[in-house]
Amino acid sequence: MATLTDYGYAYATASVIEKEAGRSSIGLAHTAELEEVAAVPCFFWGRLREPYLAAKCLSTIAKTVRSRFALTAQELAALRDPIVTAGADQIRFEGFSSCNGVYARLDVLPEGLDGEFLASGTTNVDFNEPMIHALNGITKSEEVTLAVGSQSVTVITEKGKAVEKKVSLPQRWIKGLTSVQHYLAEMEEAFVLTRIQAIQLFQTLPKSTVKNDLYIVQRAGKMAFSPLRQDKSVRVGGAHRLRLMEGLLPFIDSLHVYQSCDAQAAAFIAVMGHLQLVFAFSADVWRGFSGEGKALEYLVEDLPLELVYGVNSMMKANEAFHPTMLALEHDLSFGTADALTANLSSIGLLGYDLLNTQHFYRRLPFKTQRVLSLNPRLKNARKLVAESEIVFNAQRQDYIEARVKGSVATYHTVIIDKDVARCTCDWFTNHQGKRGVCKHVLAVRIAGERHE
Amino acid sequence: MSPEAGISRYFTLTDDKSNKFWKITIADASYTVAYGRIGTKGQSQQKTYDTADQCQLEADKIIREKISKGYIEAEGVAVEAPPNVKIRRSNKADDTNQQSPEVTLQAYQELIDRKQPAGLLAFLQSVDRAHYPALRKAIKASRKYYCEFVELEERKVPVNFSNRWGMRGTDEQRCIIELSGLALLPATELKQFNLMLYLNDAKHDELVDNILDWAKLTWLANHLLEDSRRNTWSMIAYPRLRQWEAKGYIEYLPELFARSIAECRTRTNFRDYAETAQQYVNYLCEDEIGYSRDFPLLFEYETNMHAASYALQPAADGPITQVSIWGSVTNRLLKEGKLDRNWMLEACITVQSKDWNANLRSFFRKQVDEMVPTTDELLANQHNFFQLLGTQHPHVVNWTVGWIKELITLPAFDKAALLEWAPVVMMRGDCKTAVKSLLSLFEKGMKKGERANNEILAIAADVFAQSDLSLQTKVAGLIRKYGTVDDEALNDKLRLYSDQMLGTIRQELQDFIEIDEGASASEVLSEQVTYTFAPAQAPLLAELKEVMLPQNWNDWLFAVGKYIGSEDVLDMEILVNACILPPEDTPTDGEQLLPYTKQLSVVTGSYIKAFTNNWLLQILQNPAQPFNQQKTEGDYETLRLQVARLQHAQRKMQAKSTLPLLSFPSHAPHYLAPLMLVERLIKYQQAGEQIDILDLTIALARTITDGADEAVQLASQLDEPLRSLITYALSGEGEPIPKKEGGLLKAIAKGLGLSKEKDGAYLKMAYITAARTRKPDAVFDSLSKSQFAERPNVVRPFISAWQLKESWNEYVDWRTKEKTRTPSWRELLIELPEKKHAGSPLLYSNDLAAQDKTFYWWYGLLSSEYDVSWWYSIVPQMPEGLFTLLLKCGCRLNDLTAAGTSGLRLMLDKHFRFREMSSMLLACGLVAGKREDRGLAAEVLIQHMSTQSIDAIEIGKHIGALMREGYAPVQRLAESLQLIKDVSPVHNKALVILTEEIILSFGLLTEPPKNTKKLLELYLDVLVKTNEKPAGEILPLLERWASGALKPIINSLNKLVEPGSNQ
Repeated sequence: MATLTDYGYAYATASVIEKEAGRSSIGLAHTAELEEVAAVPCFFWGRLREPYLAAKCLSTIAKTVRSRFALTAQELAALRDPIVTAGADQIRFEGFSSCNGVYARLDVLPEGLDGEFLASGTTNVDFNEPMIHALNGITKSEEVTLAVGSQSVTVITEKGKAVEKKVSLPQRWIKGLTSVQHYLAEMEEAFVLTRIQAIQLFQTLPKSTVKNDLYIVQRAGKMAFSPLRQDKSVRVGGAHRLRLMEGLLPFIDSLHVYQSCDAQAAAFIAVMGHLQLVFAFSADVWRGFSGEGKALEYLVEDLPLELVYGVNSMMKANEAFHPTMLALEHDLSFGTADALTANLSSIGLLGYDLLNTQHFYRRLPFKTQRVLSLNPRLKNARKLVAESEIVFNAQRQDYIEARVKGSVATYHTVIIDKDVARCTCDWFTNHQGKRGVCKHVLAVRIAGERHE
Repeated sequence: MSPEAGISRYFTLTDDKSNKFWKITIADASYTVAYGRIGTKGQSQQKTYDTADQCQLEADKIIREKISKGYIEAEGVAVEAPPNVKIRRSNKADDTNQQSPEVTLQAYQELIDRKQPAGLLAFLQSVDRAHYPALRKAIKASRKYYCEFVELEERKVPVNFSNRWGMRGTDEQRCIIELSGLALLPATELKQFNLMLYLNDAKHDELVDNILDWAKLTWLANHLLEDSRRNTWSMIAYPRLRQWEAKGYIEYLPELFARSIAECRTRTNFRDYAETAQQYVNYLCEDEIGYSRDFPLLFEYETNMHAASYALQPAADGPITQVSIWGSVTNRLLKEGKLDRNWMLEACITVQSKDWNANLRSFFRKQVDEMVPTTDELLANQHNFFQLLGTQHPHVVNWTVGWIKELITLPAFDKAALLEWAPVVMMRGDCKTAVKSLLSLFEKGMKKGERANNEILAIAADVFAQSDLSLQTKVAGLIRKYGTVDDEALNDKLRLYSDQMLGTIRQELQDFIEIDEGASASEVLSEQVTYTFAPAQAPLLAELKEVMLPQNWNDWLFAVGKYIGSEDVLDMEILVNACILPPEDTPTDGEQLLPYTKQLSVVTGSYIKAFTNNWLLQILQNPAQPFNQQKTEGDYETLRLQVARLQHAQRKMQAKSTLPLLSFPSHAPHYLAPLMLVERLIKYQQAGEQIDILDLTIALARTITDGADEAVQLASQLDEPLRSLITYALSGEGEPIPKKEGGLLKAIAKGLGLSKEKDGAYLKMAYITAARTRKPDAVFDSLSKSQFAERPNVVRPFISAWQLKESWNEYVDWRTKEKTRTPSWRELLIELPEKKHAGSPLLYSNDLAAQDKTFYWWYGLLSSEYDVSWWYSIVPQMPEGLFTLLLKCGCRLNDLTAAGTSGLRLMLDKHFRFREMSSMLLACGLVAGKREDRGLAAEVLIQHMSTQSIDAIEIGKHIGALMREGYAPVQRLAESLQLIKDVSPVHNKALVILTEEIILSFGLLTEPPKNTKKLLELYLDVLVKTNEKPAGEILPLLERWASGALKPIINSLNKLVEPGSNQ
């Protein structure tokens, strides 16, 4: 597979907000790497029922994709844009901070929209400075229409012209979009906060950069950040990143706090009427979602590509995805259905809806080949298998003992006892399984499947 | 393969570290390799084999090796002069002809050697396009050689250090190379080039222009932009950019032009020269394209325009002022009518919403202030101002409200819009100024009765989301004055916030809040409780987790990995004992352990980890040699005990012992069950194993009391020498050292296989340590005649004296030439005995001695949390000595060091008992500079207050002593205590006791410390929540301060005692 360079794109026109007589219309310019998506003129046109809040959320997303918490000056040069999915009567905006540590998604539920879905699909939309500025100016009393794509050629106003944008999306940005879904899918709700509790919680958030982990804890109805893990607490690494949400707190109905089982990632959902703003934060400032090996184990099982493409033709954007239904229809085992879900998430076909605890379908607007090339650890593991660098010493029911070639002329011992996999390599020694399995264990799993 | 001609293959390796070639020529049964740095002739070697086939095989092998090392084969013919020992590079190679790129390379080298940049253009024009690939490589190689900062080999004599470093090329040579790179290399390969030096240098202008004219670079603008994003200093001067644009060398790229014009880089470094800078201001003001096309870009792209300034000193020894270049430019452009005022005003206001550098935003605000906008101009922008109320930046919000104040009285002011935007501000704790101003604007409005008051009050009520008593009091006052009792919206809002109301505000507003007798938080908090201090319980076996050794080889193997990755000292204890007791299925070869040897060699900041790593490496690689670890000055004696333990463990391994160390914890995290200790000793006795007194003493220090009775009974099976010691240690009955000192001890020493005098002394130390473990706070008069009597913690518990010393720095003011003092601060100094002793089983006395100068070196500061937890693990039942040192190392300044933080972390142990020094450390933690430390200290308090295992009075006294002397600001203390407030009624109760103690210790001061108000506000709030009144002696004490800023809060406190007064 030829290595793909970062995906660079430019919009034919710029997104604009036009204001006339107490009425604003947001026209989002879009583009996509997939030609069939790029060719769609318009996905949605209609009225936002809660324009003031929606505008606040959109500018928060804009702020998120423009923020960076652990990057060098070089890496943050490029501006990024969110992607938008329209379909099944909903619109979702998704984006990542440049450092890949913060994921933000705005779900505009059917009740929040009053308009027409002209096409379904996922695409990149232009978020330019003048437009974001205009978003900030939307007040409670005005009426706002939203167009994703345009039915006619947009007239670019004087203000919108200044910014000519060339965007390049690095591979890790795209990978982050896929791997964060695995985290979301296994998260559990820990707290539901009222608006006041949320505001109080954020009042205890340190102003400056937070180096140590903080834990959200509840004390007599009061929420607080504590430097200590407690019985029921949610770990947040690099908590200053939460400030991205701060501006929205006065408007929320409730704030749901989620934690992944391994306490590595945390997520927040701000519920505001028919709008839901999802935030996911990686384990630490310096750890992007892109680098996590969350679903690697599921990907060991190779699924026939026809199945994957089959799903693609069956589903519409934003539609709920039920693996069991699929398993029944296609006569698959339920284990395969789980693996299929993981696989589909990994190649950017599924997102996860935390509040309803279900996957939804959306196809990332990037070439499948690009998305498939994203898992270096899996690639390295496959290489180990291909080069036959694995020796099995024992292989019984529930127990595998193998030796795998390491980078420097040493052999690592891999023991897989029931579900617990251990390895003598640096990665395992330092993370003790907290950041996904190492390439050696993966290789043993892959080779084990074939060995049997 | 044709034997006559010979086949050459040429490889190169170019990366950060190296730039070398490797060439192999195979001819018949021999091959010649040549290697060296690119651009040099290198060295060569020849090898001959019996047959051509064998030669080819060997050659293939070394080629593979080179490729695996990262060498890349150059395509086509060799591009360098063939390195050959016999032929010098200046001589032409035999096969050179006019078509060979070598001629070009030769010419290029000659150009560099001549050091005349002017010849570059002619050279470039003469080069055959076909030779470009070779020339490009040569350019890169030359840059590497001539333009990198390296330690120069030529100057062998190190006159001084800096002289030996430099670049090999002269300025001219580097100019030739850099500019030839610009002309011929693609943009992606220019990252390491330092072009700006030559592009911005006026003396090369003509050459640069000629080259740009010749090269016709389409990517230049983009490249310069990316370069400037990477390195802010790398920016082409704006006038130059404009020249290039005019000549068509560069395309117009708005962001590049914006960055360049903002940077104000002239052809000379003007920053020190006011005159040049003023000329530049003139240039910018006269240049129409500049101010009409490029100046507006400064509102689109984030730049450093605010930083461009020059120093102006009108009089020779007068004051120096910094003049902002862009301030001067905008000022003049506006005056001369070259900038539209309305446009400028709007741009400067709207730009405030961007997430740009705070100083840059502030620069634009300053422009607005200096423009002195008219009321009409402000009104035209009122909606732009309103929008700014929603921004994240407190300065912007405060500034905006300042302008709104000017506008609000005007008839055309849009009051409705203000009310729409204001709610976002009211809840914010970071813009108090804005909130206060808005509240007084609201008050003025309500006085005039212009709008429905309840609507405004409902907005103002959002202030209750902030826990700030003075703001809350103000809003409560407004509500009582202007509010209507039965307004539903206002009612709802107040009910929402009723739990947030501080002090007596909730009572004051009770008419407005429909009391909802549910389980609101304040109901829960007003529950009647008492706070009775009782020290933390000693650990019980039933609640501790048993420690297991690895049972099979797999677990054993990964125990090594677990130890390496672990911060838990117990994993180290497990591994050391697992080494003594390997599982049965241990393989004979240590091959599986090889991957770990690398990880064990990693440098660590912890003594204990380093000792243990080295020990493990040695027993893996060379188990026969006795382990040792060089002692360095300033090492802590206690940490060195680990070396002795590891040596003992190694001796046990060599003796094929089947028993773990006596001190191996039986229960997590570091405890030993009494029964387990006695059982181990019996097994040692049966196996005839020698006992190491240090090991035994640590075991005794780790042994808990739970289950001691049973163990004492079993101890009767021990032979007499040990029986007395163990019985005494477990029961704590009798005197520390047996009466029949001399005779019995000798017998004991003999019985234990000890002979030397030192060991006899060690045994006494074991007794003393056992005594202190059982009775940490007792006085042992019987020890006062012992040889160890004067050591800390032997006869009586050691409590060191401390003092807070005022310190300051002195410097010479460069203008007045006078010695000046910086503002002073307080240092916490801990006094320790002068005399030092070698490390010994006197675990509670070791290291409690004043250190020499080396003490304040990094290693003396106990910076490793691992070391501290290990130390704690050997003295878990009486760690005051450790805490004395942690206090000394960690809390000298109010900004805690790592040692202080580690100490706080240890206090989270629920069995932790606070004594003098640990209480002091906790007090320091509560007022520490780092927020994390304060949070941690607050957690310690929260935890121990909930079990009432901390003495609130003692802690209050310590905090009071620190605050009274000005060790740290009261503000920090108030913030920490705020974290503890409202956790539960018990915590509020404890806070009442604690704050009263602090206030009492302030009693001696004529002036209260700054921000005492915050502390009193908190005091008032917890009093109200717990339904208490101030203690009798508090109010008279506060009365003396009641005239100043503390008056309102003291009044409120008085009202608690006499509800009728002051109303």
